[in-house]
Amino acid sequence: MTTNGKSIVEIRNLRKVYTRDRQEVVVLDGINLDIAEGAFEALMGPSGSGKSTLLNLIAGIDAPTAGTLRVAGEDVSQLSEGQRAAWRARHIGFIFQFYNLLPVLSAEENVEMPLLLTSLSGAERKKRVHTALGLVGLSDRMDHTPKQLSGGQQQRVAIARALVADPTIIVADEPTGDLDRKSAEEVLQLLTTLNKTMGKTIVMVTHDAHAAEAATVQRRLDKGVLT
Amino acid sequence: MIPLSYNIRSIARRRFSAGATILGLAMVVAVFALVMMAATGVKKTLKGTGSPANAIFLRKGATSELVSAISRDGAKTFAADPNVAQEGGKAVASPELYVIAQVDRVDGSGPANVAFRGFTADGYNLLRKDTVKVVQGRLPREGTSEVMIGKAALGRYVGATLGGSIKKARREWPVVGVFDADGSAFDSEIWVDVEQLAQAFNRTGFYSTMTVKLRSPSDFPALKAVVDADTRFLAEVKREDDYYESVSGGLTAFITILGTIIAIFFSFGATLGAMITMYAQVASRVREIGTLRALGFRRRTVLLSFIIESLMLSLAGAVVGCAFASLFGLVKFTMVNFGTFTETRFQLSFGPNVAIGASLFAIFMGLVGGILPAIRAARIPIVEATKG
Ligand SMILES: Nc1ncnc2c1ncn2[C@@H]1O[C@H](COP(=O)(O)OP(=O)(O)OP(=O)(O)O)[C@@H](O)[C@H]1O
Ligand SMILES: [Mg+2]
Repeated sequence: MTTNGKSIVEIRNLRKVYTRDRQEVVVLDGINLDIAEGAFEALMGPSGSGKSTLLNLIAGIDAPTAGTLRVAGEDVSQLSEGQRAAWRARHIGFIFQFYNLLPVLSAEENVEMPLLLTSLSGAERKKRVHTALGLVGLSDRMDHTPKQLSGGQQQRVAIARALVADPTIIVADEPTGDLDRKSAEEVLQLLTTLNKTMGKTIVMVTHDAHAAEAATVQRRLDKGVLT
Repeated sequence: MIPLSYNIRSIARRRFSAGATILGLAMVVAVFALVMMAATGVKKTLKGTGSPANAIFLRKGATSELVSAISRDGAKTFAADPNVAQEGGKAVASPELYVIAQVDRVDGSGPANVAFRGFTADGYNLLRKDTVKVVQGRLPREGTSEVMIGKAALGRYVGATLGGSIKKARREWPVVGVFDADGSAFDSEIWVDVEQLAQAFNRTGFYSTMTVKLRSPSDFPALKAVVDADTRFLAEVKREDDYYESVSGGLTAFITILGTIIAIFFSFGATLGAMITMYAQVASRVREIGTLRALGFRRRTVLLSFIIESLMLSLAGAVVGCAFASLFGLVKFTMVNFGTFTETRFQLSFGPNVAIGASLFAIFMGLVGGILPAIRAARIPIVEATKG
């Protein structure tokens, strides 16, 4: 762990309430959370406890009902829709449970997508994409489409996509949830490497206690409260 | 910017529905293009009938040769005007009599209105010879009932063959020649000595019109001033090409309006087809769209991407539709020209204006069909879209 004591995520009294059929469902109830720069945190808890909701709030794809949320030095809830998109492009790398690669694009093109939102030249983008794919061990699969890759390989492409634009935080929601044991191990190994050798801050939601052990901090969410 | 290859490959991935949509759009584009081709063909035929170097005298207020009359004195007076070109001491002027008569069609489908044009030997030799060329047989002799027929009328009417004879006004009109007027409206006419025509149809003492060659095209205003100031003959003068174009105006407008109504009617179907296809694309790509948005692509970028995708479909439709329509580029068709009530042969004409017009129409359909699905795509909530 290479934290320097600076918080990259500061959450105060965060509430998230869904209203369904005029009935309020309190998903997050007064969350306070600090995540240090360079941390690798695992977020555990039973199904429906609000893990994904919290992660989505940190990643700026959902808006809180109340409370403050500073991520990468920005009060995310105050940003407009367009500003938030630009903020995500700059600061957040996403890893999804089901990889979410674009099926019509090759591995190389998928990894390049986040770079299309930067001002990098085509040659510069290519270089970065190749580096990222090399890091996840898929240099020889650049031209393959997702369909031609195994689940584990697809998730590694997704990890390359998440890191290629050098984001401030990588968020991962059940990144091993759809993988066999061996592929899951490879993915966790990669995340550990990203954290240890590149100092990336990672927030990972997982069901799996074994996966959570890869992280340096484990937290539990239960009935909307962090313990 | 989301790369265009993403859109192209997404379209290719659902080839069948995309192909059906493109065909539907292509059909509408083809109908639209054919209408434009017909309108352009009519305009070209009639405009090509006249030349800006010539001027035509008509009765004041006459909208066509059919209702025009110029007294012989008037014709003589205006032909002598110094703004009219001279050749070998003679004015380059062709006084003509224009008569419409019903002649039976060869195919048994009944009579058609056919234009007979009486001409003078001087008028033909000095003014018409270069544009109305005798290609078979010879010129009719003065003082006889001999006629020559335009190549578009050849074989269409009973007796309208070289060596044949047309019966009309209790006379036989032997066909001694065939002429080619380069696709203009003259090609659908029958030409005969003006005196014989006047006698046969009781029109002596008047011509319908007189066409003259201007000494120079820039002399037209001067000639017009003279004619307008003259109160004796109640005549007016127009540039020949403007005159023939105005005669085509009604017909062009008719074709354009009718065709546009048909095209718009069909375009509802094609636009709806494009819309359904695009909605299906959006629905089957919810997760992809949510992912793009999570990565930081903005709503308007997603909106634009789907509009572009819809435009790709419509432009493919435009290409296929125009290719199909251009196959008809040499087809000839016969229609009644409302200006003169005569049967006139026109040619469909495919040109850049048709391609551009049809493409704009296709773009319009693509925009209208694509906008609502694109808005839906842009509004997809990221959280729901990105999860399993
Ligand atoms: N759009 C929504 N409308 C209403 N309720 C919602 C909505 N999204 C989530 N919820 C509710 O919020 C709660 C927390 O959901 P969340 O997805 O964060 O749980 P989770 O901890 O990630 O669960 P899992 O481990 O199953 O993924 C659940 O009870 C869910 O039903
Ligand atoms: Mg979840």
